[in-house]
Amino acid sequence: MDFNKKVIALLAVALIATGSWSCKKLTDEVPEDKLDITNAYRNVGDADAAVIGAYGQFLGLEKLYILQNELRGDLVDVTGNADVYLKQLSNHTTSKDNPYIDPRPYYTVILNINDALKNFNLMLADHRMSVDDYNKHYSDLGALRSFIYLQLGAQYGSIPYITDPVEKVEDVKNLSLYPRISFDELLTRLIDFTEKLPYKEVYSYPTGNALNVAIDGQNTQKIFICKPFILGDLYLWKGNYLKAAENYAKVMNIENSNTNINIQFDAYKVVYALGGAYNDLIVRYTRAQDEGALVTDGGWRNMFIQPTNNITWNSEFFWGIPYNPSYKPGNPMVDVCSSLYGKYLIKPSKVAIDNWNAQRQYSGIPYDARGRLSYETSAAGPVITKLTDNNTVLSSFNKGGKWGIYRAGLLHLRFAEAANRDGQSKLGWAFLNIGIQDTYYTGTYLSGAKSPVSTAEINTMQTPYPTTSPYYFDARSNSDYKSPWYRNTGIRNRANVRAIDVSFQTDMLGLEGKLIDEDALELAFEGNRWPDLVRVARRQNNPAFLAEKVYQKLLKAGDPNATATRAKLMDPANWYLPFDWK
Amino acid sequence: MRKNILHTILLLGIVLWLGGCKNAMEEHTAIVNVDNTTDLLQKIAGQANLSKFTEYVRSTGYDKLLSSSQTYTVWAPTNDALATLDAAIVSDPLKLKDFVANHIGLTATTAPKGIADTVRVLLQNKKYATMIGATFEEAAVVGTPAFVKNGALYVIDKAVPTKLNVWDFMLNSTDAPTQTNYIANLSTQVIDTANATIIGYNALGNPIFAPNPPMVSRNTYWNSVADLRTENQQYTFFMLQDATFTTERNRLEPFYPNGGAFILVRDLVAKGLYTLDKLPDTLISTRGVKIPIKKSAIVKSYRASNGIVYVMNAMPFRTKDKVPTFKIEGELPSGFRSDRSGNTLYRLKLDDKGLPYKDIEVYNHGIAEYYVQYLSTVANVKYKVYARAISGSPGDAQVANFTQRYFIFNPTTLVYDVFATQIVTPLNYTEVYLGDYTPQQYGLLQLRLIAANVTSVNQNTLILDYLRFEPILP
Repeated sequence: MDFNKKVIALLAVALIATGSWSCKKLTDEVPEDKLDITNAYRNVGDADAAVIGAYGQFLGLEKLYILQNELRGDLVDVTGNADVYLKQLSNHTTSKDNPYIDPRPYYTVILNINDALKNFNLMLADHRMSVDDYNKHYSDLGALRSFIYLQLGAQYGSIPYITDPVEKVEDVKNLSLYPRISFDELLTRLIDFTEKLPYKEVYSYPTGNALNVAIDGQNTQKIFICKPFILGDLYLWKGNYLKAAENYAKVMNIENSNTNINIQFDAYKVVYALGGAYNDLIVRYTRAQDEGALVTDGGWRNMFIQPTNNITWNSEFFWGIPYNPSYKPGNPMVDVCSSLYGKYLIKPSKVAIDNWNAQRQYSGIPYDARGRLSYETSAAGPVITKLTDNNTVLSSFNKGGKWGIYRAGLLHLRFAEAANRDGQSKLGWAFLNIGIQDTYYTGTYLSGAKSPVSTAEINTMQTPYPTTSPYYFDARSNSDYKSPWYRNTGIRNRANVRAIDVSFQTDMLGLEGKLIDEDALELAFEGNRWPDLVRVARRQNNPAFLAEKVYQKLLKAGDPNATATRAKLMDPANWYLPFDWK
Repeated sequence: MRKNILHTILLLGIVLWLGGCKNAMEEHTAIVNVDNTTDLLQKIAGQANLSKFTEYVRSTGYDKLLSSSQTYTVWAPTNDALATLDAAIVSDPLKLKDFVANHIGLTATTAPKGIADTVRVLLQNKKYATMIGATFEEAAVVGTPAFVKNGALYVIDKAVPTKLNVWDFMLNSTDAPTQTNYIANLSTQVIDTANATIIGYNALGNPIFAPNPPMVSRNTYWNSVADLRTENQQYTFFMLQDATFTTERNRLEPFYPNGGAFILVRDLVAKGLYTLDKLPDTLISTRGVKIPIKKSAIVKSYRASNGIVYVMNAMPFRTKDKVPTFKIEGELPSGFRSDRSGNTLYRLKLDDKGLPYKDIEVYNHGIAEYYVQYLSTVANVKYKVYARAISGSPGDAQVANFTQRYFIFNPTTLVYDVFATQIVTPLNYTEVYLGDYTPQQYGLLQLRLIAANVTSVNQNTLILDYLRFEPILP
């Protein structure tokens, strides 16, 4: 190499070097607060860190999860600000380069969990962690992985089910060779895996565990997945309705023997209001009949605005992860939903708004106020507030909030769906409409109030099943005696809207449709819609059920693809996103 | 092989280096064919057929503007066009300056895309001009516009003298003196807050002015009907010749004693520009009243800078449009006997046909003869009065019959006289005829909806959807 060549080579190196520095970001630097693999997993403290790390990564999936599950359904539409990829997602014309159909973000978390699970096994073998700690940590992350796989299955259909650790996602080149299994096969394997987890309690870590603490005005008890619920979901998808109901009922009854009677009677039971903080979850007006008197900073909206250490929030939610505005990432849905502090990319669809406006309240107000409490109208158009609600006012500097995932409203509707399919339509109807006591009571009324005159009449306030049945709910009460379910009031009652006809108590398919309709009113925008539609369409073997709903959204939005999309969705193969590693 | 790898890395590095810091701001759009060597003044001066206009630009001082670095658009009339310009403009420096200003707009304006495409531009004299296709107001654009370093130049075939706005035209016109005088004299004197001296503030935070503050005149037509001086709006305005004005006013006078003229003139403005070819037979006035238009009655028209003026020799307003049926909405009260807001329900409900309606209910307020007060304006004519009050609908605890009364203030005796008593029956969705009401005079109507003289719940309830006053016209 002569001198000139050396100079050129040196210059080239210098050029490359400057090139690589010129756009360097702070985030590229190796952070000092992260562990290298060589000294991770030494004791249970490291296992705790692995769990928190996995949930931190999981939190990053919210935006993708909500966009896929809501935009593909009928309740959320794109605004004029949305890019072409979101529009594709909304009208089911996704192209291959669409970033919102990339499954890799899910697998990043999955592979991370796989790695942690492998190390938990090693820690157990080397006695670096107690069996008890192992059971809890392993089961927690294992159930979280099942949750992500269920989401993948519902969105992509057949996918690779990878349970081995891979050190880096970039190593996944050969993962594309991994065999893909059908959605049904996936459900079987997920049920098998999740059912065999050693610790399947409602709360992942009991009081006293290092992972169950109060911090920054929040409580960590419920940032971890509720295992019976994901099991219930898996069984519900699989079509094993009794097992689904059993698992859901486990959550519903979990606080039955709590010594705090307010928690015993109110937690996850969808109850009427008695004026206390534990049950301030109803759609409430300071003056009945007067629509201007709707309570917007309490009542039903409490479940979205309150922090995770709040009594009222804890009566409703059993899985929700808070965002702290002081730390990254901040609530990603602010950017997506807000017209003032974000890009306002998505909005409630006309269908969603029409659904609420078609309801009638007991007070004569001709719409369902849950709509007013889920979105607001702004100069830019309707804005989803449910995903950005917070106990402090949203602003440029305060983009906090929560990713609320599992809550009582969802639990009761899912339970009703399972029970209905298992031949318990009346019970499903009760949870949907007016609650256990009012549905089952057949005794004496005195001027409109239930006034049982005998033990036999009181006994009609419970469901007629053995106490061991998942369908047994005890709502008995009189002046001397209260049972755990006596305050239960039903999803629609809690929202102040009129019950559907009692004929649905014996109409299984009809009630199933009504339950999905109610999902749209109660759970809109929370990230359940598309899987709900797929699950029911799949179960009923009725593609039109799903296709028609999406068609109506596109039709009302004036989307020229409406008819083509309906035709496309009539083929179940087109329900699923293409699975490409890219 | 190693060399290849080196080259590849080198290439990659450069690509990353160049591509990595791309800035969207660097991309820009530009007007093509710009002559950056010359400015507007030089461009105009350089064209022989614009020599006259160049002379005017120089004499009025606009030459400095057009050679500055700010961008402008000039619509320059040719020498031929300026040959016929009114001598009164040329001889008066002020008028000439205004004339030149009427041909210059701030920023470079690109020509409208199609023949029907419209561009409104703000000119230097604060007037707005309209370009539709290749036109500038009444002139046609000659050739294509030239873009130079500080703006754009259009050559036009007609001079475009400054137009008066609708208000100034009205004041200067002699076509309808009675109407013009009437409107012009609707002025009131108000404190000129911009020039008044503030000597302190009262408890409410409002300024206290020094004694004898300067006053300015404000015409009530500007805020109660339309501010016809506004240049950035467009209006269609009607002027009635004296005989027509008198006829129409006299027709209204019985209903509005001493107020017929104002009732007449307040419905002579419609928003928007309706040229003769686009003029319909009925326009809606700024206050929502139908204006009947016979094209045969148009005596002349004037195209103003902010609209168009028609001089009319007939304008047969329908009496029922001028003495209209009106409603008092229950949910829009002006006051209450006392604060019972906790018992006052502003309700949105569906009626028996499924149509939404809003009303007011005051329930269980516990005050004998509690009342809700309403204000409106009546003409001097007998009215049939109907009420709609619906009780017992879903969610309403008021299911029993109850009685409520209506009292109307008597300006002669200065007390509220009982007008009607209504027994409200549940789920009656139809209007109930309350009786005929003959006002004492044209003007304010003060009405009270009064509860029964008891304090008990379900008996002293008040409910009102609306009251409808239908005039009995001859």
